[in-house]
Amino acid sequence: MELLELQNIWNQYDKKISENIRLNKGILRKMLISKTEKRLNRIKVEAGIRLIISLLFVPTILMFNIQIRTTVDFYIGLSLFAGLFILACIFRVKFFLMAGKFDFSSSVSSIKKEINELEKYQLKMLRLGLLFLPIGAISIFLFAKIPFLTQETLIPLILMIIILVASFFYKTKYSYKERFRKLNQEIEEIEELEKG
Amino acid sequence: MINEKLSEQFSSVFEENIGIVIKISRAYTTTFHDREDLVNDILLELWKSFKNFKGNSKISTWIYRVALNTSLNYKRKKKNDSLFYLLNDFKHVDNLSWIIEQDHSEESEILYKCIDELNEINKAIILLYLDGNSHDEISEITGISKTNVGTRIGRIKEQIKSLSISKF
Repeated sequence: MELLELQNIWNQYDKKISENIRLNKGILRKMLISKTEKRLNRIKVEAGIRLIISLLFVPTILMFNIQIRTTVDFYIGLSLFAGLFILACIFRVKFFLMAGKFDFSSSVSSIKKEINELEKYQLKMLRLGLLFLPIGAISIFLFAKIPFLTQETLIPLILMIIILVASFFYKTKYSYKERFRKLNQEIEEIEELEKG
Repeated sequence: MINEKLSEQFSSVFEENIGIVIKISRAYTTTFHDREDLVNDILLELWKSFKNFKGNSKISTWIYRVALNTSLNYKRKKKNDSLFYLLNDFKHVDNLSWIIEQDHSEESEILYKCIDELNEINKAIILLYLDGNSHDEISEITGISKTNVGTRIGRIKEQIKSLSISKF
C-alpha cells in the first residue's frame, strides 16, 4: 500500500466524520461548560487534599503523646524531622507547580522534553526520599522517645534497615539508572529533531 | 457575561474543528472507552488554554498541538496512574458517545492499523500529513525542523509500504 492510497482512505474517512456527526449544540454546551468546569475544580480539590494529607502527617505523629523534653536526643530528633518534613513539602509543592505549568499549546517536542525533565525531577525526588527515609524514621524514634535499641525492637529494626538498604541499592543501581538513561536519551533525540 | 461569551466562542471553535480531535484520539487509543476518556482530556486542555490563545497561530495549529500533546501525555499518564484512573469517576461520561462517530469500515481499520505501527512522533507526523498540512505547518506544530519532517515522511512512506506487504 502506498501513502497515496492511505491519503485517499483518510479523505473518505474525513468526509464521513463531517457527514456523520450532527452536533447538538445543547449537549455540547452542557458538556463544555458544566463537565469541564467540574472536572477542573475536581483536579484543584484533589491537589489540595494531597497537600492537606501531607500536612496531617504532623498531628498524626503528635498523637503519640510526645512530651517536650530538654534533652539532646529530643532536639536532634525534632530538628531532623522538621528539616526533612519541610524539605519534602517544598519538593512536593515545587513538583505540583511544575506539573501545573504545562501549556499544551506549545509545540509537541518542547512539551515532550518538559515532561521528560519533570519525570527526571520526580525520580530524583524518589531517590532522595528513599535515601532520607531511615534518617526520618530514626528522628521520630529520637524525639518521640520510642525505645529502639531494646531486645524486642532490635530484630525488626535491623530487618527494616536491611530491606531499605537493599531496596535503595537495587533501585539506584538498576531501576533508576536505566530510567534516567532512557529519559536523557529521549531528550537528546528530541533536541536532534529540533535542530535539523 | 464574559464567561458566557467565551464559552460561546469556544463552542463554535470546537464544533468547527471536532474532526481533528476525533481523528487524533482514535489514532492514540484502541478502545472506545479510552477514546471517550481522551476526548474529554483534550477538551479540558483546550478549554484551559483557550483563554490564553492570542491568535498568534492558526486556530487549527493550536488545536493540533493541544490534541497531540494531550494524546502523547495520555498514554504516559495511563501507564503511571492506572489505579488513579480506575478510581476516577470521570470515566462515566455519557455525553460523549454521540460525538464520537463509530466508523468501523475495513478501510479505516487498515488505515489505523498502519498508523498504529508507527512510533509516537511518526504517528503525529503522518496524522498531520494525511490531514493536508504542509511541511512548514507540521514543523510548526511538532517543533521538529522542516528538514527532519521531510526525511521522516520519506521514511514513513517506506515503512508503510513494507507494512502493507507483510500485513495486508
